[in-house]
Amino acid sequence: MAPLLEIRELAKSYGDNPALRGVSLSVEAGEVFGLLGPNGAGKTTLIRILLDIIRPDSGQVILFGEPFRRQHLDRIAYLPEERGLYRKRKVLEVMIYFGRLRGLSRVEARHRGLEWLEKVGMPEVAGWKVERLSKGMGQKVQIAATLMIDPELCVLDEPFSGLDPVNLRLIRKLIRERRRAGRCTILSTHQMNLVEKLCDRVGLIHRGKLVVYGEVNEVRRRYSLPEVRVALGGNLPELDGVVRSTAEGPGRWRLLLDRGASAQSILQQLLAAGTTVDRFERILAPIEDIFVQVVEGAAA
Amino acid sequence: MTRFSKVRTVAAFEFLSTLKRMGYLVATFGMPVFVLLYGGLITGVGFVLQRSKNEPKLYGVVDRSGALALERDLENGGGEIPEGLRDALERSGRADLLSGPLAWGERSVFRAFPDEESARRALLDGRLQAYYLFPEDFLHSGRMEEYFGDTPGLNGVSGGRDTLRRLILEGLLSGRLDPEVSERVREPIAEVESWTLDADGRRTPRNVGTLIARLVMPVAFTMLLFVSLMMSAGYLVQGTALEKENKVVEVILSCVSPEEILFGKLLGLAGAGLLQVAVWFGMMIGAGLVFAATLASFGVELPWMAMGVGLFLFLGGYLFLGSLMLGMGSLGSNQRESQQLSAIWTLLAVVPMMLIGVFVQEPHHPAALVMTWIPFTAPITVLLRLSLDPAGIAWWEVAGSLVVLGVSIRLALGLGARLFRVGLLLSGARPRWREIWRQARLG
Repeated sequence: MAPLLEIRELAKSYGDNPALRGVSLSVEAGEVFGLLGPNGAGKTTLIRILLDIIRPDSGQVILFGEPFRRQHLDRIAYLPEERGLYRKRKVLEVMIYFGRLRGLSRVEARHRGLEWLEKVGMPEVAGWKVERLSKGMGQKVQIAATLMIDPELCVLDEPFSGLDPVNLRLIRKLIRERRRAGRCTILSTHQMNLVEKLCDRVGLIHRGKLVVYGEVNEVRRRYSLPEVRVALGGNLPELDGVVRSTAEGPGRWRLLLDRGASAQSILQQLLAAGTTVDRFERILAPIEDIFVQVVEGAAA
Repeated sequence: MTRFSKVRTVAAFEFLSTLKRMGYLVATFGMPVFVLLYGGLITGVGFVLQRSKNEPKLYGVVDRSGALALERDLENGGGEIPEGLRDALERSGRADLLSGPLAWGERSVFRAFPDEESARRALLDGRLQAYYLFPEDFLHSGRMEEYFGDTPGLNGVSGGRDTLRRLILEGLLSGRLDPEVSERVREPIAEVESWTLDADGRRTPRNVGTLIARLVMPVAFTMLLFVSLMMSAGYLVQGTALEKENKVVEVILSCVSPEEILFGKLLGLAGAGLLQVAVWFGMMIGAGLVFAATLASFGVELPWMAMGVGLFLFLGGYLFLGSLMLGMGSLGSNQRESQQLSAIWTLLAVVPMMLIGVFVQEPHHPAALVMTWIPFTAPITVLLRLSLDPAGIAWWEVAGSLVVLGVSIRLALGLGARLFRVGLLLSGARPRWREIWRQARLG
């Protein structure tokens, strides 16, 4: 099946500064894709190009299996990082307007607006003027207005900023619901712990280039040292292929493996030695470490 | 491809947003009410002053020269009403207004006093505004003394001196000359018949008052359209700058193309502008109907042709200027900068209004002929020419200017949308114009 979104060799520059340098990636239906990168890496430019807000210098965007058409925009929703609402208008009026712009009828937009305000726990603000909302409330209204059209592809740029833990959990729940419903979400955030929890795949852009790309655990494996953590019922036996062992507590060790050794062979050796294995896990590098490693490595 | 459902949605939103603006409501409904109240206040003050003028003022005359031959109290009749107004009021059946409230000038009574002492006492008692003393050698010297009470203000400064002058004239002429010559001395030209000859040699009465009155409606109509045009374009730039500041613009751009936003905004605000003009003009017509007979007698005609074509000229001028103003205004980083940038186009559009004095004198002045074909100046110029002298502008000039305007609108929309796309996302320092142009050319 064709990917939901395919980006081919996108390039864009502002004056003498290249923002994107031949970026290619694809996003599948039903997945949560993490678009990562340091500030000024080119993420927002990439998002703006795929939404036809700005035009690329070269490259192509394929959406829903065909070259970009304006009509595609009715199936996409976008929550930009720098966002706002019409301060002098009522909340529901603004939601209806946004719904209408994305192709809903007035009645349907009104119905969904009220439904989504209920969903984010703020039905009472429908008749309020936007200027009366707190920052967090405004944030939730914007997320509700973005998701209310049930878009096939949704781009959320820093959706968690400014939210308290309760609301953060609510937004995570909404993103997971979308995945269960087979809807695709592109998530751009600097909160790496949430990337690990929510995303199926990631792409890391740095200085306009896609430098890391793939399934989350596969990327973590790729950037991890060959290390395993073991918890044993007895002492750590002599093991071939272990370069260094570090005790982390009673009966617990962290083992750095030789380049040629596999975790599988270590486990087999432990079992063959008759050791009780309470825990055996491959240690994967956190996405945050990979992010720092890639960005700082490039800087060095 | 422009999706008209999106354009309609943006237009409706902008239209309603504008209608809810306090500034718009005040300008649309408040301004005519303010003008009416102001007019009412001026009229009221005028009426009170007129009433006070109708209380005759008493002046004393001590005539030692015998030149005035004043034998009894002499009262002027309140002066004369200008001929044009007198004719118009009589033709409209409102001759009753000639006496009473509309009586022109100050009423004064001149009373002869046998000696200066009695006149002085009357002045000091407050019975006189002033008294005039004509010495024995007045005929020779022309010298006169006038005495006022020591009261604050300028009351009686001019006094009845004009009337007094006539009084002296009457006294001097009395019995000395042939009555006809006396009459010509008093009033060298008693009546003027003024005519206008048209190209076929037909003559029609010419009256300056009527001519001025005929200019009122066309100029007022043009001014109204111009004000509304500028206000609508101003709202357009202001609203977009606000969206940029509010950070709403990126959400909108993610579902509607810049062309659709631009077109929708232009239409929405054009609707609000037209509604404003309709309200203003409705009020003007309403007021006009009240005084219809008087206006008709002045020969004031509503510029129907200009009003019909004016609708298209307004829309055309607005779409053209609005596109450019919006495109340029979107490059500003805040409302003030946006308005400054868009003002460049306003300056061009305002040229015909600056020349309105010339065009009123000569509606088809060579400058007007040229400006008919320039899209920036065409709407107001054609409107003025059509209003002031419909017969002097050829149909092909009107049609041609509309075609030029139409083509210009298409180009302006394209350019405006490209600048709009680039400008809306700009933040911080504005890039060089070359870079803006490069980005705009990408589409």
